[in-house]
Amino acid sequence: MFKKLFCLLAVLWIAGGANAALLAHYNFGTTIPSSANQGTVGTAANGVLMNGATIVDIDPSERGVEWALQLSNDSTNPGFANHQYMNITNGDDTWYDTSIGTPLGARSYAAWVRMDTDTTQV
Amino acid sequence: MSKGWGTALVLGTGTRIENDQIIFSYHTGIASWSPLVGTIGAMSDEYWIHVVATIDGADYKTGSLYINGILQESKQTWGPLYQNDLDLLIGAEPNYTEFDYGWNGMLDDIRIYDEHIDAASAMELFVNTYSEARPTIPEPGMVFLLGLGGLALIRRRKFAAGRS
Repeated sequence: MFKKLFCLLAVLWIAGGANAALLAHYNFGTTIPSSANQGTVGTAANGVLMNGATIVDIDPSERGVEWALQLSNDSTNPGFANHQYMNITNGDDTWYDTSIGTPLGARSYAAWVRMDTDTTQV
Repeated sequence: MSKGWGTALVLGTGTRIENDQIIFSYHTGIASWSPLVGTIGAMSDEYWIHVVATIDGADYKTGSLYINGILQESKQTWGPLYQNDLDLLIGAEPNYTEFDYGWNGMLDDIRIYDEHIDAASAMELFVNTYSEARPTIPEPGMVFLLGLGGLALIRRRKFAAGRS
C-alpha cells in the first residue's frame, strides 16, 4: 500500500524541476557492503572511514540489500580526531572546491539520517 | 557533514534531541552562523529523516532546509560562504578540537550537488530514495500528502470500475 502511495506521490510531485548535477554519492552498498569508497560520481573522492566507523546492514528482511554508515561518538572524549566519521576529501579538497565553486556557487546536500536518541550528539 | 566553519551542512551543530530539531548552519566569513531550523514530530532512533539543504539565490546568499521533502525554513544570509582548505567530513566537524559535533547514529544515501535543489526536486528525492529499510516518522505534512495520494488512488479505481 505504501509503495503505491509513494509511487503516486512521485507522479504528483515530479513537476519538471531542474535536475541538479550530482557531484558525489555515498550509498554504502545495496547488495553487498561497500568499503565506504562510494565517491561514485564525477570527481568525488573516495571516503575513508575513521576511528572505527562501520558500515552496517539495516535491511530488516536480512536479505542484506541495504547498508548504512554507523557512527558512535563519545561526548566525554573531545577532539574530532577521537570521533568516528568519514573523510571524503582526505587532505585534498580540490575536487570539491573546483566542482562546487567555493565560496560562490549554488550547492545542495542531501542525506538520510537516523539519530541515536540514547546518546548525546556531541 | 561539515567542512569547518559551516561551509557545508552541519547536522550536529545545534541539533537538539529534546527540541526535535535539525539544524542547517553555515558561516559566511563576514558574519556569525546563520542557522536554519527544521522540526520533526518526535526524534526517534527507530525512524529515519531525509534532509536536504541548499544554497542559492542572488550572490548565493539564500539557504533552504527541507525535511522529508517539506520546506522547513528559507532565508537570506549575510554573504557568501567562508572558504577554507579543511577536509569535508561526514559525521564530524574538522576544525574544532573541543566542540567537534560528532554524530551519533546512522547516515545513508549521502549526496552532494553543485546546483540548487528546488522544492519539487527535494520532494522527488525524498520519495525516490525512500527504502523500507529506512522507515520515516509520519509528519503532519506527509500525512496530508499520503491522504491526498490515497484519495487520488481511490478515485482512479472508482473511475476505472465505472468504465468497466
